[in-house]
Amino acid sequence: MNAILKTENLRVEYRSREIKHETKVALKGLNLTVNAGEVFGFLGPNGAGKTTTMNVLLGYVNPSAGNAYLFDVNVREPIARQRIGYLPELTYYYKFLTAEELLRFYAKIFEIPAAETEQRINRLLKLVDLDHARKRPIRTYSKGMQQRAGLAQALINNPDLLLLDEPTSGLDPLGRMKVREIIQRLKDEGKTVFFSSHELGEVETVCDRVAILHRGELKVEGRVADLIQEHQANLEQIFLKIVGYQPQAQL
Amino acid sequence: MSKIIAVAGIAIKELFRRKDFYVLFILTVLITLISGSVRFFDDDRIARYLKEICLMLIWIAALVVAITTAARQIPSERESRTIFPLLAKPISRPQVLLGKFLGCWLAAGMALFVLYIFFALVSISRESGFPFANYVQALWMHWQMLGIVIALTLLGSIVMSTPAANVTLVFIITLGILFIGPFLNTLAMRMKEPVSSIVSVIYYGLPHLDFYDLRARVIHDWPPVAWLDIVLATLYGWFYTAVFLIGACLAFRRRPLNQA
Amino acid sequence: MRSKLVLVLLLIACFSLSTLIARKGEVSRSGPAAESFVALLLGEGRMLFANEIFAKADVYFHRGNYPSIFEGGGRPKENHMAGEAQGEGVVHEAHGGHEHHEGDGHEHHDHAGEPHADAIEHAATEPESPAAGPSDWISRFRQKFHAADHVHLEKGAEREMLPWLKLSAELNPQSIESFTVAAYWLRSRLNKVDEAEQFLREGLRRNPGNPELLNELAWLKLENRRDPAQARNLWHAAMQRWFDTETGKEEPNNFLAERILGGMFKTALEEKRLDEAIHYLNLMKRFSPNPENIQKRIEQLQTQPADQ
Repeated sequence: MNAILKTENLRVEYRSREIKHETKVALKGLNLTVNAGEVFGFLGPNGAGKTTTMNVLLGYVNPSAGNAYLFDVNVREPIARQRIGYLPELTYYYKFLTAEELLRFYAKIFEIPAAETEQRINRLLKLVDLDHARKRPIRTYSKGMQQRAGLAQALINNPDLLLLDEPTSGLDPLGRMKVREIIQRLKDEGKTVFFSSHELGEVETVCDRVAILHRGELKVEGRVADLIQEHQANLEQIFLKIVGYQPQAQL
Repeated sequence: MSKIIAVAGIAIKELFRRKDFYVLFILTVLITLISGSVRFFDDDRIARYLKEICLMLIWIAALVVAITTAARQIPSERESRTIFPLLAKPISRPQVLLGKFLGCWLAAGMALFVLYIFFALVSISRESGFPFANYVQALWMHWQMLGIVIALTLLGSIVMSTPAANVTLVFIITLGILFIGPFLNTLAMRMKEPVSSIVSVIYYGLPHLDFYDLRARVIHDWPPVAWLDIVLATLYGWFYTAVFLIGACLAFRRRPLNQA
Repeated sequence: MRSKLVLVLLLIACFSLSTLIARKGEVSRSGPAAESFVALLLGEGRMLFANEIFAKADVYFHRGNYPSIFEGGGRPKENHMAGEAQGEGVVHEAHGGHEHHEGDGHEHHDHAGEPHADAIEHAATEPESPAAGPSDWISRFRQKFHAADHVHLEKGAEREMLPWLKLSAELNPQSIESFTVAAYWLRSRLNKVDEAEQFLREGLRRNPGNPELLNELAWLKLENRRDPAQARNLWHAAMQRWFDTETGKEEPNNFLAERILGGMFKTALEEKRLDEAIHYLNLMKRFSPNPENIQKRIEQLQTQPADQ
């Protein structure tokens, strides 16, 4: 199988700004592989290193050691991001732009021809149900509308790999359903989806494979069905066991 | 190049969708018209004081627009987190920075064009002649000067912690260069070593923005500058613009962007 | 940004209003009429600006070419536009045309006391001697963009100085030079005699009996109104005021006294009242730094026939 996303001994250290300049290790030699066509769930408690991993993959942060690749291109190269779409957890886009202008802008970054850009914009705005608000500035949008605009911009280049950071965070049930449908549709089209989430029930439903990160280390990786069978528990229970959660003694 | 132009387009849209420029333009127009309504000794052909007031206001407005616009480009992208979806696209940080510079510079140029059109109308209303070459040169040189200032401001926006500090410092530097810069070498001659050498180095090192101030020539109807000198001054300005932009790109490349 | 601008404008408006109200209150107690809006806005700080605004008029006289305070030579000690306006010609003539009076040695005058027509051209072709300082490539390159030649306004363009002179007078009504210089240019180059007289009278309202203003008004009456009688009366008043104000000072304004007496001398000479003319020259000897030249002129007049 082709590895769309690969990390090799990825290590990220942050120097503390305090007096003693202690170094915090956010990732400790992460080795991860995501194959083409699968939906991959990236799990872990807060502070596990999920966001740091995303930051490296997206080129925001340079690793202290190791490498990361997207489509066999080192993530330090901007071209590595030509075939990906990214939906951040917090959707912040240029408030003074309309949804249409935003999509057009990102399409130019991808160097999509103008005629095709217009077709894609029309299709995507209908897909995320923002066609009626396409001419309004984003600052007039509700949170859900902004999230949907974010989804549209993540799909503008018809990506082969979609990186989603907490995609259903803050969405109402209808919105979550919409996101799930889109993920399923992308999977049916042979695309790859990599997303981090705290919604373990959703992950269990949607994902083919998962990885659980804890304190910068990869604790477990494998097919959801195999993990459930191996541990004889649902994903949430496996997760809690991995992170060492101890239920408090009943009073 | 298309990516740089795309980012530039966003910067231009932002400037003209904010109210800053319009407020400054209206203030310029108002103050100029009020100044022009005064009659001195029953002579309505007096023009130069009005040209001076108008050009001074234009210079102030253009500097305010250029510096404040450039100062907030990168910091506001980081603060509003729009930098993250942008850099998640196949665009490098230097391309983003160059796009911001181009956008600010083109936006400043458009603002200048509008202001100078107003200035030309004010001049024509008082004087019979229209020294087109003078005005074109003044506009071009002013625009080149703003390019240097914008590049410096972008560099400051990367290395400084807050936009306010950046704006203040750039204003001080710009005004210092305009008012005192031309005379640093003269002052250095009157100083003792090693201060004299330091001041001399600063004199030769800093960009002499006063080259681009052709107001006196426009106000007092001097003939146009030789076009070769305009070209040389343009190249001189581009050199400093490039230096500041390269510094900004290098600083921006090293800066981690954490989404935490 | 917009709210900050509105706030700044509001503050300026409040400050101006409070100054206006406070000043009205003060005036209603003290009596004199309120000053202009600009003067009210700036308050006592306007004195600082008045000098700079007056120098601005000289900058305009030189079409923008003016040394900065940082340059080696500094600002010119004598203001060129004021120097020409101070009627050095008549003093020169009283000295028999032998030498220039102190002050601005820039203009050249013929025996009629009028500047040469080509004096300004002369100035235009001779560049200002460069201020002491380096001549590096940056300075040389800078000269190409700035007004570098030493020229003066001419052919009616002198009107461009007027706003600054008016403003200077507004900001500091006690700045006599603002009134006299403006009046000179108005009447001699711009053919605005009425405006010049009005401005001088306004100066006299602000500075009652000022001898310089009376002197300038006298010249206006003589040269523009062709009224030597009134000119003579004004010079007499000016001289009296000069004695009232300058006598007893450590450094009295002898040059002004010379100019007043020079005017009286000129009037007497033109009316062929030789004895009176010689009388005024004798008085001038007291104030002149070169009394021997005046004595030669007296002797010259004494020997010439009465009908010349």
